[in-house]
Amino acid sequence: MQRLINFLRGTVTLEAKGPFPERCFNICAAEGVGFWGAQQVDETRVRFTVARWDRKRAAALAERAMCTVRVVEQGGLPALLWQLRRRYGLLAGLAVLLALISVLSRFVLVVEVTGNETVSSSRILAVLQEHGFGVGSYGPEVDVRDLSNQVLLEMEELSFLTINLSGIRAEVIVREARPTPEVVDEDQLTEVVAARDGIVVDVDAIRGRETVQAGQAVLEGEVLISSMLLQESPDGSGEIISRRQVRAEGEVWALTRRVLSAATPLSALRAAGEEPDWSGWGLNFLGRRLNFYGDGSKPDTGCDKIAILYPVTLPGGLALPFGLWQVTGRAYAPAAVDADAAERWLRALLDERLALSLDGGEVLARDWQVTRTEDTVTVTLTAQCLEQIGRTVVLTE
Amino acid sequence: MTDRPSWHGLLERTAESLDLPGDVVAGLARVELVGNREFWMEGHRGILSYGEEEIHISGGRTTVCLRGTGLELRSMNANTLCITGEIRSVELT
Repeated sequence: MQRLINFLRGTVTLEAKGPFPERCFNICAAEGVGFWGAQQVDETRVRFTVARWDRKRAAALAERAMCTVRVVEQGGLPALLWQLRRRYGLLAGLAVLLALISVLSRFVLVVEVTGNETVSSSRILAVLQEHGFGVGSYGPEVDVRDLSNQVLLEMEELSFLTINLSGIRAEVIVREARPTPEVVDEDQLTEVVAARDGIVVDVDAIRGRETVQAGQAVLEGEVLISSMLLQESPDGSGEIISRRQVRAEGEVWALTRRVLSAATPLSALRAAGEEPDWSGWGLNFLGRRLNFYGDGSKPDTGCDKIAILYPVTLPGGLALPFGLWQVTGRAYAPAAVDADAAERWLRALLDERLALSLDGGEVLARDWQVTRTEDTVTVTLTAQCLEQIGRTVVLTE
Repeated sequence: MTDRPSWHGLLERTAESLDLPGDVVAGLARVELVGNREFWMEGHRGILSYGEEEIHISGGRTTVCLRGTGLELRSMNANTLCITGEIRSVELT
């Protein structure tokens, strides 16, 4: 530690010459001038080291001891800088470095998102980027309040957002909004109608009057559970003595038939070959890309364009917003598609679509129909399903 | 010229008879040796001669003579000094 302090403050080695040079030590010690590295050169000369700022004082004290003093060596940072005073290139580089540090420290280089649980950080960052904030933003110009208001207006799933700027680091703190519970207006009259054609299997009316029975075929839009409750006469005559409208609710399960179809051409444009047809490099600077090749902004039609970023990464794993882009392109060429593979893909696609549209129902039977021509392959899925077809609609009148 | 006891000699004898520390009462030099590599001295009066093999230090009424090899004045202020090196002998005169 002491060596570091001595280096920073600078040291000077003096040589005192006189009849009794050791008196220099006594006088310096008595006057409080710190020295070290004392050594005898010969009987009339001694050398010792003092701090740079004590040089003149030590020299004056040595002269009081009837010694002549000369500077033997200068060390430490001040002497080093003094030696480098004529190295203009180095000084210019140092000045540029200091300028870069002072300028770059005003830009945001790292953005971190905290507090999010269901909303992804990348989505928050993307929305912030749309509003002009991200890696490379000029920190003093960021209006946090305005920015957070704009983002909150766009992202309803967030209830709070703020940005803490500390140097090059920006911490985006968010709080997610609690989902608003669905408010059911109990006074609103509804009825349950069929969402699609089918044969009723089971009717489960929570409120309202069942208008269909199991085994009955229904058409899309037909009323399944009516809002009108009827009260018959207690004498068994079947006369309706009163009517009352309620909010109809319930589930109606039915056997339905679904027909889904999809087709794909048997020839397509594909990137041919493993080797790229062309490649280029670009510079990533604060999130902006500077291409070193021509036509970098042309549309990516007719080719497969892949850009890989190689960021400059610190030993701790932190990626800096500087790096190199490698862009490669492979031109598209017509290529034949394997018909069997296309058919398998279409079957999987239709199965996925069916599962998504059933929403809790089940598929009882499937029937596939495949049609192949020279150009296309078409797959049709006819499925028999058991699903809930009751759909609640609001009665306007 | 008769040899009369000085004021410092009186203080020395008083400190000795009353079992008091002589460096505090009489301002005597205090010498400390750490092994044979480090020599400390409090209450010195200055260096009389300096060399790598022999150093003479004034202790007031006595002179301390250090002999050895590679002797070096490590630190020094108005009251205390430290000498390092391979010390072979310490002689009081």
